[in-house]
Amino acid sequence: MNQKRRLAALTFLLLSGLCGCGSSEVADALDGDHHLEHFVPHHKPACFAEAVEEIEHRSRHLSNHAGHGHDDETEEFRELLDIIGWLPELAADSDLNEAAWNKVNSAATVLAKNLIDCRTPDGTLNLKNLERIIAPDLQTLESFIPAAGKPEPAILHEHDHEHEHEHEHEHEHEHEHEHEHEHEHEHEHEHEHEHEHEHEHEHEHEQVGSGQVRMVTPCSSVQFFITPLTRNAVGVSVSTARNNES
Amino acid sequence: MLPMVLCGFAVRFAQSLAQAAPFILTGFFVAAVFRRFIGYEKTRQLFGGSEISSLFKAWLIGMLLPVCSLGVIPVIVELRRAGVKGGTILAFAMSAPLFNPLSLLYGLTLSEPVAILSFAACSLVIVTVVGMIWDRLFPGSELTGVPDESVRYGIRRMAALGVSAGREATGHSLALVLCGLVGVGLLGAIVPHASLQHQFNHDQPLAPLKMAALGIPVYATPMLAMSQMGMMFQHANSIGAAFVLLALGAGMNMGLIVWMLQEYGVKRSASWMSILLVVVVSLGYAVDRPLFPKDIEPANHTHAFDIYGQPFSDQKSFGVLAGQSVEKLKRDIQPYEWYSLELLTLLMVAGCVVRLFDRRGRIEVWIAQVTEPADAGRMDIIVPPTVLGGLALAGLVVFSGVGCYAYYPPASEVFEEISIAKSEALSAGLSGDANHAEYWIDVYQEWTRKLEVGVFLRTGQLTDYQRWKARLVREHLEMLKHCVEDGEREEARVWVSKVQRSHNRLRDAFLSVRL
Repeated sequence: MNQKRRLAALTFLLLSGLCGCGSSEVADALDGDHHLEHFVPHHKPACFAEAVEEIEHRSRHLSNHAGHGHDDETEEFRELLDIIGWLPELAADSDLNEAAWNKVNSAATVLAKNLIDCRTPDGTLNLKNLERIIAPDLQTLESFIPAAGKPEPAILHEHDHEHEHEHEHEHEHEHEHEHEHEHEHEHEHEHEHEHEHEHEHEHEHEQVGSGQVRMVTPCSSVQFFITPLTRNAVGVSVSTARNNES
Repeated sequence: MLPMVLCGFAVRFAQSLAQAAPFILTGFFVAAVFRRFIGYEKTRQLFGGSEISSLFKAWLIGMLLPVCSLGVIPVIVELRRAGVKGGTILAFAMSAPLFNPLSLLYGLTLSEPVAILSFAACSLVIVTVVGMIWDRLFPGSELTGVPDESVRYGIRRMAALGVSAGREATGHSLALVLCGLVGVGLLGAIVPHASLQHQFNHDQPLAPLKMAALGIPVYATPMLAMSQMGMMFQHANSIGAAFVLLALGAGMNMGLIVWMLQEYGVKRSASWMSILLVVVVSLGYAVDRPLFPKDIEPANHTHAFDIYGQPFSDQKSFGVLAGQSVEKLKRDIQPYEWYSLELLTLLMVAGCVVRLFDRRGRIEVWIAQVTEPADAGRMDIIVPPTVLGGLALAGLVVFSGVGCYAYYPPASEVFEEISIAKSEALSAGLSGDANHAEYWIDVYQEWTRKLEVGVFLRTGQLTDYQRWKARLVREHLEMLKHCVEDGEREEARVWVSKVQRSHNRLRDAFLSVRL
């Protein structure tokens, strides 16, 4: 009988514990704003073509500024590695067939390895020859841009606004873009970009809450002479080397 | 408030019962096979040997048998009667629900197959370490003197199987199964709707511990636990918590705890649970960083545990909630679960009939009166009960292996199912019907995983290209789901077209002749 009572008491305690857990969940649920989000890093390209352009530009930038005591070198190096790491995903999100995708994947693996080899065991970066080292694989990647398909319609990316500001720091992309910010709505902006190709492109930005900016960002591609996307709503332009050349 | 609590309890209880029904049914028959065919002596031999070998055998047999943490209850009740050591039984009870061939294959399609293989290896470590420590702390925990009830041959042997299964289905094992279901029902009644979404993010150091608290009352079939882990990997949530979920969510339930308390008392049960929690949570923290998916951007939430909280978000009258509960159950319970529920009901009715009309045990007496076989010639062979029992268990394992082919159909069939789910999900996405979209997006995502497993099963390989295509469809569906939930119509429209394109590429990757 005692055994049974003990058992009943223990069962009750277990269930009480369970209820306690539930109560804390109630409190948690009621606390604060729990918006469901999937974060897209600020430097993630919107499509394969843009990723290739970014790699080309960023590697050139890093090469040109190597050894100049560039403060952001490590951060930019890490971002370049990230972009190379996203190549398989971005290529899979395109019209490339399996054979082409495999080649892109292999080129991305080699690129990443070459990039990592630029880091000495003590952690310092030797990026002087980076552009030259990655040139063959970059060329391979560029050759797949036409097969990757046309730019897709606008896709919405959610960005952490604070994060955006962190990266507002001089990304000295030696390109000239004229941005005309036209506030049509309290929370909406429309940017017009003028290029030598005289292609106009629109980017819609929407303030959706504290620290959040939603961007309507069409993918770009050199092949189709479409302007690369603007990265944030505060007018910091990240463009590509190819556009500069053009 | 009360109608919500009652309906929440009822919905979660019924959903779990339906999910568990095939496994509970299997558990009752496996238990009857041990009692009537294999017999207690052979059962002790099967799970016997040295300390480590008995624990390893318990883990291996558990991994092969298609049972869940509720279905394993009748089996461990029988193992206890057979006089198997306590540590070995508890090791079997823990490992049997973790994996089966279906769930293992499913798990291999998660972001990193090595994660699932590591989890399987960790489960072996858990049962071995915990079982060994417990057996040393409490030697001589086995029952002795329970008379053997195996039947040698004939129609009585077949009748005995049915009678044993029927009696257990209406007896002690059923009560324990109901305790397990009450645990998950209580969660559904108490835990607020969607309140677990942010508790297991990758950056939460307490996520494995929180999961340990949640994992004991929850009930998850091996497949459900695996798909929940899939969602956690997809959202890059805490991998340590995912491991704890597998070990405790799939491996434990309230019914098992009540059984432990009844059989081994408070002290020994508390010792088992303490050792188990220390080992599981430690392993959870140990695997958290090494197995974290490197190519996924972490989300700040997971949907994996929405099914353990209140199914309803708004308070309504009892009548409305009851109607919604019925609709929800009709939609969620799969056809094979209905069949299993019907068979389980049939077994329980048979058990009730035996209990009601045979209170003096005349059937048991009749079963026990097996006469010595007459020498009827060379072709009339009496198959020993152990052989038959072994064949039954082996057949079950083979059947679950063959079942994989039915559960994971070929790509062409999967795309027929996907096209239904896609049109429902996308049209609901366009119209902004959040409930409908959510349901069909889940179905759609589930089929993309089945597609991967089916192709792997039939061709022996799944290319990275195919993996990426399937993963992108799931990711785009996930974004669509969020847009619909947030009522963002324009954004949803964009994701609908994105999903459509990803779907076309998925189909090309799996059905076209590859160039």
